[in-house]
Amino acid sequence: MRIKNCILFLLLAASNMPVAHACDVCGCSVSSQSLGLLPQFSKHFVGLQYLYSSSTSNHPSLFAGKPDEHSEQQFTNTQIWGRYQIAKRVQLFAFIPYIHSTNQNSEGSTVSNGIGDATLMSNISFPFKQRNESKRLLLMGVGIKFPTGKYNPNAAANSLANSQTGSGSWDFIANTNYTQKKGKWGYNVDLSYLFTTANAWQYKFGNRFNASAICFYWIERKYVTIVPQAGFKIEYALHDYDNYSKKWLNEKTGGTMNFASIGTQVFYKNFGLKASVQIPFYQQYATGYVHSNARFESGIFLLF
Amino acid sequence: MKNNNIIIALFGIILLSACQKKDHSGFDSSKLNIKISKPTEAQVFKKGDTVFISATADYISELHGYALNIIDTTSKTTYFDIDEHVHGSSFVVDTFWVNTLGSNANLQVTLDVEADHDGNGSSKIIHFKSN
Repeated sequence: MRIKNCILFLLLAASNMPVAHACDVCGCSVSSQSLGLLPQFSKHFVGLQYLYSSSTSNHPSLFAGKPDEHSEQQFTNTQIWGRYQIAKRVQLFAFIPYIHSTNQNSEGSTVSNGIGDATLMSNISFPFKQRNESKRLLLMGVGIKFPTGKYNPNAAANSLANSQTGSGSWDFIANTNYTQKKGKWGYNVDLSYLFTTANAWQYKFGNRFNASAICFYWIERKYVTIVPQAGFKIEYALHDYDNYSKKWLNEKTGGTMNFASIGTQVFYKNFGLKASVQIPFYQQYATGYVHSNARFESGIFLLF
Repeated sequence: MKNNNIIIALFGIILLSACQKKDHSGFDSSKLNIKISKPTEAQVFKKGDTVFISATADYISELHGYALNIIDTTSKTTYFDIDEHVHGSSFVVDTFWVNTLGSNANLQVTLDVEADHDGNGSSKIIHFKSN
């Protein structure tokens, strides 16, 4: 695959961005899982992943003459994840996150940390006839997000629903992951959709759509394989419900964030490393009241 | 063909799940109940007294916030001023202000309750004195 095809693919995919919407004012958000470019298809792996993100929020005051409420959020997710091949074409993925988030405003700082919502996903690979040097892999699957994280309804009542370690709800994920590689060039497209449900306190986070597309280049040396990659990521969330049974739709929640990403993966024997930076290039979140900063992601994994 | 059907069905579910129902009942001020139980109307406080403020509000739909202040009705000076966001159909306020005024003053405590970001809401005022 030539580099111009790769660029053309990214431009075409970027032109299909969703329409802007509104979102939550305090929002690092309980995001859904996505797989991205996966290491060697036929092997099991276990890995440790670290994600850091931060955002600033400006909430306009409800009352005339009062200043806007400004706050800053920091969010880290350190998670154990892995893949287990249970049959030739069936893979299980598991994610166990540990969340640490802080919300700083004029009244002080609120910290939440602890085990987040664990996710279990099952994927089926669909076979392709391999042509020439081209290799293709399509994975499709579904998953469940368990309410293993802590959800504090009192914090949610104070507009901190998104700063917590769990959503308190059972959610369901559908995902598609497609990779094509020809020669040293390749691309990966990952789509996931999170179907949320209301928790016991009737708070319902908005359904979420994540899409990412990356181009990568395969550099193979004697012992080491390096895979530099660049692309973009789209995150889109519907509005939350403050009370789902009463249909109290919170139109200050939800929205879209779009990131350009650059990173690399390195493999040495059965070990792998990855690191990437995501830089926001378009966002319309919480009717524009939330602004996300650059994100950093890194991880290690062991193939076996 | 079978795979295509699965994909079409999935897109259908996603489109359906993207529809979000909303409570469209308009604001009805007669259904918004605001009650200030402390201080009471025309109550008198001396310098150094603690003025306990107790109030409740409830509505048929979601409330968004409130502001509570104490002002001198003559000079319009504000002595106490708080505001909070609310995500629920009712709330309780329990707070206090220590009367530091050395002279007679006509004061009022006002509770403004906002039902939405469009300015819909209602208020309750209680007058009291510093002596």
